[in-house]
Formats: sequence, C-alpha cells, structure tokens
Amino acid sequence: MDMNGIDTLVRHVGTDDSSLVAILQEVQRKEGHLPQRTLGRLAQRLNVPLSRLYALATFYRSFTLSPTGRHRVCVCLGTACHVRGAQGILSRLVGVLGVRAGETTPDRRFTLETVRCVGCCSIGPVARVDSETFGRLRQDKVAKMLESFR
Amino acid sequence: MTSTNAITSVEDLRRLKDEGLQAISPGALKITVGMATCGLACGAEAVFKTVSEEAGKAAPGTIIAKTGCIGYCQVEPILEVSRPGQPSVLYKDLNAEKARELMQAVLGGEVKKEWALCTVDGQAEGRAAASIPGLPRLEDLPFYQKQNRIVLRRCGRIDPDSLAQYVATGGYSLLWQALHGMAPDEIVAQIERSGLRGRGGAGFPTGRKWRLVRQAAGDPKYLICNADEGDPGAYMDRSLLESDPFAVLEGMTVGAHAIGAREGFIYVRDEYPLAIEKLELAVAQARANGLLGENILGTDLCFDVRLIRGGGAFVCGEETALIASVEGRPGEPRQRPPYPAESGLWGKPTCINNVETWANVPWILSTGADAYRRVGTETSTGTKIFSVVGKIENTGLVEVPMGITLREIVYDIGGGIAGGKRFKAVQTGGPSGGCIPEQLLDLPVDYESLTRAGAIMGSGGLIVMDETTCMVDVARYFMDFLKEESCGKCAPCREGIDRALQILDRICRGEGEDQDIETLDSLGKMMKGFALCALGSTAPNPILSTIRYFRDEYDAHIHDKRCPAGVCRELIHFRINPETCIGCGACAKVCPQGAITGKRKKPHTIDEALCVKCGMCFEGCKQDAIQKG
Repeated sequence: MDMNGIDTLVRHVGTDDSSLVAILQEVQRKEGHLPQRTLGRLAQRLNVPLSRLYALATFYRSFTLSPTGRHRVCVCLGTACHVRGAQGILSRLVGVLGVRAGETTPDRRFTLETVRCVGCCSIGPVARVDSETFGRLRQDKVAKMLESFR
Repeated sequence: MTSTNAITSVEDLRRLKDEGLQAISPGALKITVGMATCGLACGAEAVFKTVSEEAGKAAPGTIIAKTGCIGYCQVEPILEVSRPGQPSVLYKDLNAEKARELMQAVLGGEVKKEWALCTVDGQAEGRAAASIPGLPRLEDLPFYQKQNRIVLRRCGRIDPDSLAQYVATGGYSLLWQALHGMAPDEIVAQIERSGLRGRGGAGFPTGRKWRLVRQAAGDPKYLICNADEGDPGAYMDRSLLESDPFAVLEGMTVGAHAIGAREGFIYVRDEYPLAIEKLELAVAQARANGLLGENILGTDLCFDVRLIRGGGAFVCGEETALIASVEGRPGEPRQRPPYPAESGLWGKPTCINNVETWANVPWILSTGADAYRRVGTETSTGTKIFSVVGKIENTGLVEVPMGITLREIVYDIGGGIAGGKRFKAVQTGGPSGGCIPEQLLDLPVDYESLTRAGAIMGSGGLIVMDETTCMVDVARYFMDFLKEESCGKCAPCREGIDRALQILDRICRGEGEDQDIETLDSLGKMMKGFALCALGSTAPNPILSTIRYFRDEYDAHIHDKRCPAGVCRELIHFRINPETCIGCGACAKVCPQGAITGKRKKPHTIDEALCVKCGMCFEGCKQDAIQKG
C-alpha cells in the first residue's frame, strides 16, 4: 500500500487511538497480511512509534505478518466443536493440505488456521473457508468442502 | 442537526409501528427464512434462493422475508409459511431440493405436515385460530415448553434489519417513556430493585454498577457494550445482535440517560461478521431516525455509539483489557481497584455491561422491577439465555427462568444425550468454569449454586458431555486454550497455565506421575490467589472441578496408562474384530494412511505402526466391527 492508499484509509477510518486496530484490520483485509513496509508508512503517517504498531500486530490474532494463501481455511476448536471431534477435522485438513495450522500450502492456495469459537456451537464441528461457514462436518466431507475454492 | 426522518412525537412512533405491523402481517402469503449465522452455515441461503425462484415463477405477489435465529439451531434451516387468517407453519431441516418441493405444495395450498416442526401465531386472529390438527404449537414442543422467551422474544419472529418491525413489537416505546417521564435516578433505582446481575459471567449487580458510575466524579462518562463473547460454546450474544440488534441499542440509550453518558462503544468480536453487519445497519437506521445522535426523540438527550471490532483476543472480554483495546493498546488487563465505574476508558467513569444485560433493560423498565423479580430466584432474578450444545439431542439457544434445574435443561429441553449414550457432565462457564457431574443435575441454575459446585454461570455456554468425552482431555483442552489466550503480563497466569498444560499433556500421553494431582492442586491455589485478572484466577477451575468429580479418570490415565473414554490418542488402539468383520473394505477405503488391509469378504486388519488413530474407520464401519480401547 503506498502513501496515497494509506492517506485514504486513514482519512476514512480515523487518526485517534481507537482507530489504530481498525486501520490494521483494513490493511489485513486488503493485503492479506501486514506488510512491513506498510506498517512503516503507517507509523510515519500516524506519528506513532513503529514498535506500537508491532505490539498490536503481534498481540492480536486477527493479524498476520506474512502473506496468506488465496483462501483461509479456519477450523473451529471451540469446546462444543472439540467434544464433537474438531481435532479429527483439523488432522484431516492437515493430511489433505499437507501443512500444519498457521502454514500456507506451497501453491499459495490455502492457509490453514484455527479459531476458538465462531459461535456456531450447535452445529459443530465447524470450519470456515473465507467467509463461508460449513457446519455438521465429518472427516470424510473435508476434501469436498475445499473443492470449490480454487 | 436532526434528520428529516427523526421521530419526535408519539404519532411518528405510531406511524412506524403501523408500517412494521403491515410488514409482519401483510395480508398475503409470506415466506420467511431464518438467515442468522447457524441457518446460513446449514444452507439457508440456497433455501432462500429456491423459495424466491419458485414464488417468482408461480405467485409473484408472495412476500419473501428474512429473519434471525429462533433458537432451535438443531433443525436449521427453518422456514415459516404465513397466511392471512391462519396460524403460521414452521418447517425444519430444509435444503434447496426440499424447499422447491415444499414451495410447490405451499403454493397449491397444502400443509406438508411430514416436514413441519410446529405452528406459531402468525397472521391469525386470536389464540383459538392458532392450531392445525396434527401439528403441535411452538410453545408445546419439549424444546420450548419450559422456556421463558422474553429477551429472545423477537428473535426469529421479525426482520432484524427493520426498525419498523422492532417498533411494531413494542420497541422504543420504553425509551419514549423513559425520556419523557422517568428521572435518571428513578431508572437506576428500578434496575437496582430488579436484582438484574451482569449476564457476561461475573454476575455483578447491574443497578449497583449504574449507581456507582452515576455518582462517580469525572466527565465525560462512557458506556460500553461488551460483545466480545469469547467463551467457546457460547453464542447467545451473537444471536441477539444478529436477530434483535435494536434491543441492545435501546437498552444502551436508556442507560445513557440514566447514567449521564453521551458516548458509547460496542466492542464486538472480529469472528462475528454478520453480527457486526447487523449492528452497523441498526445504528445507521437509529441515527437516521433520531434515535441516536443529537436530541434523541426530540429531547435533550444526546448519545451515540461507535462500533469497535475486536482483534481476536479472548482476554479482551475482561473489562480492563477491553478498555485497553479501545484505547488502541494490546489487551492487557490492569490492577483493580480502581474499577472502571470510577476510572475506566481514558480514566473516566465507564459502565461496561454485557449484550444480554443491556437487552434485559427495556423489558425490566416497561414491566417494572417487581414483575421482573417474580421470575427466577431471590438472588438470581429474571431469565438467562443458555447455549445448549455438545452431545445433546436438541442443540440451540434457550431462555429459562433462573432456578430451573440442570436436569430440566438437559433432559426436558435438550432431549437428553444424542445417540442414546450416557450422560457424563455439563460444562458451564467456559474456560473459567467447571464440569458438573450427574449426581448434581438437580442443582438449580443460579449464580451461587453453580459457584458452590465448582463451576460458574459464565456467559451461558452449557456444553453437554457423554461417556465418549475424556475429562482429563477436557482439562487439557482448556489449558491449551488459556495458554494461547493469556496476555502474558503476570507470572502466575503465564507460568502457571504453561506448567499445568505440560503436566496434563504428559498425563494424556501415558506419562503421568504419582505427584501430578498434588502439583496441579498447588498450581491451582497459586493462580487463584495471585493472578492479576479473572482469566488467570479462574484458569484452575476446569482442572480442579474435573479432579474433584472425575478422579477415577485421572487415576486410570496416570496409573493404568488407560483412557476410559477412548479419546487420548497415545492411549487408545483400534482393532478390527475378526468375528464381526464382513470384509466389505469400507474402512480400508477411508483410511488416510493405508493402514488397513485384507481380502474381499475376509476379516481385515489394521497395521498399528501406520495407524494415526484418526477414527475414520471406526466412524465408517456399519458392522460395529472396529473396537476402540
């Protein structure tokens, strides 16, 4: 994101302290991660130390500092999903994708992540691919779930 | 500057109410699809599309509408068929194919009873009309019979995006009364007398909190709605925000009048995109109609809210961590006192309440504190919304009077354990809570009883566990969760949880040692006494409550290197019983490791060296020929 993009973003979201996390969330959404250079430019534009932005970027789970894949596969490991076999779903995804949670496939198609509860506890186990939620999952349905995400 | 749509008179409200009533009962065939997150995750979008297509082809005058969550998540997607002068019919377990067939039947005037769930009051006049022979009424269904759906009354019954429908069902009339005839002190007194306690988990008396903020020195004062519902297993706040967001806004606006605040914040979890969307829509409409902003309802009250999205940190549900997050800092809790009521956001008096707490306010004030006190128990008044999930037959969101027993929730409402298995425990209070065993099922659900039993009320997550749940694994699960979510600021929590997890990991691997229970106990006492915030001080609860009630499982893991529930992978083995195996090969087909071999129609075998204990063969075998143990 260049300085123009950052200017537009900051003008839209705000420059006060309460807007810092929201600004980073917008960058995360647009770029798929928080590029180092963008953070540097943001620090300059907002007149805050870069370390402050890093503190937020590394504290909050919403942010990643390295690029993610085209699609984010997120397995819910909430308690209700856990007792209904979420670990099995995660293991199956690890097997199918060939990467561990937190990693991206070599072809950059998928990033595998975990989350502790998306609030779909009554239809667990649950996984999200991008903004689509899949409930009542079974290990043998996992590969099919990924098919339409190129 | 007030918008041209601003509601400033009773007539304005009445006009909006009429508009809403017309939309709810349009005098024509109306099909409504439940489109909250659970419904969508089960395929409600496809149902909605199909229904719109079919109606478009055969009956273009049909009204197709969306609603939120009616609470019976087990049977989503749900659809309502509403005709003038007749009770509505709710249909369940739908998909696109069934929806197409259903629409064809409905447009032909039929009621497809075999797919119906029940009837509800729809566009029918009077209760007498509200039944169809052969179909139960909603309130007679076991799932709903013992519920008191008051806070949830609009959820799944109105379009959550519609301000008019909110007003038509009683919305904003309380705010009108409050701003035109109730002094702030009087409002605070009513909330105090109602006995309402914080529904986020701690159960602090809400009226006392409001009184403290009102009396605190400092200006401006702030309101915060804590919608950072982080307890895994709990989703009542999400559902309320998606299905009746105006109720929360109205509660906060009344609160602002009572406490003297001009600015409020709603802090919503990042993981709840639909709830955020619904809130944004509701806030925009409220502003456009003079219900937020300057001169609300034409009075002197000026109050507006700002939505803040969480960053994915469980600890931000803790009030001081949430405040730090709003201030643009990492969500690290701080020492209390001073409490937020005295010194909160930017050092100013701040009233933080949970979503469900705010949503209780309009009801309490319109029916009166005494009416509210008649529901529930002496010290835990009103209702509580629980998410009943896990190994239960009927999963969903239930609103029950405080004082109902756990047994009633699990068996009468929840329908008992799914798949005919044996009940083992109910976990309440999330990672701060504990597990309650069968012998305590007759406990009344109230703050004190649950705390005495070693659990807590928490935000209302009720996770049912059965004979296939390993209680040592449950304790390990929660420590794993808390280790990731601990902010790391204080040593008791940071080091204590880490150490407890190491011990539990060892136990689950079959490397438990004799003194482990004693060590876990002493770690627990240390964390309870010295952690900086409730995340750390309640972290021991899952461990201590499972040791208290399920000591035999710990002993089996530590001394016998055995997992009785068949969960801990290092301690279980999968074996094919040669006497019951028919050699169909279904297991070999699904095995991701190629660990199963055998000739057709001959008993198969599992190579233990290759087996990763995923259990897919066990799940897929129709002969029950695979043993786990």
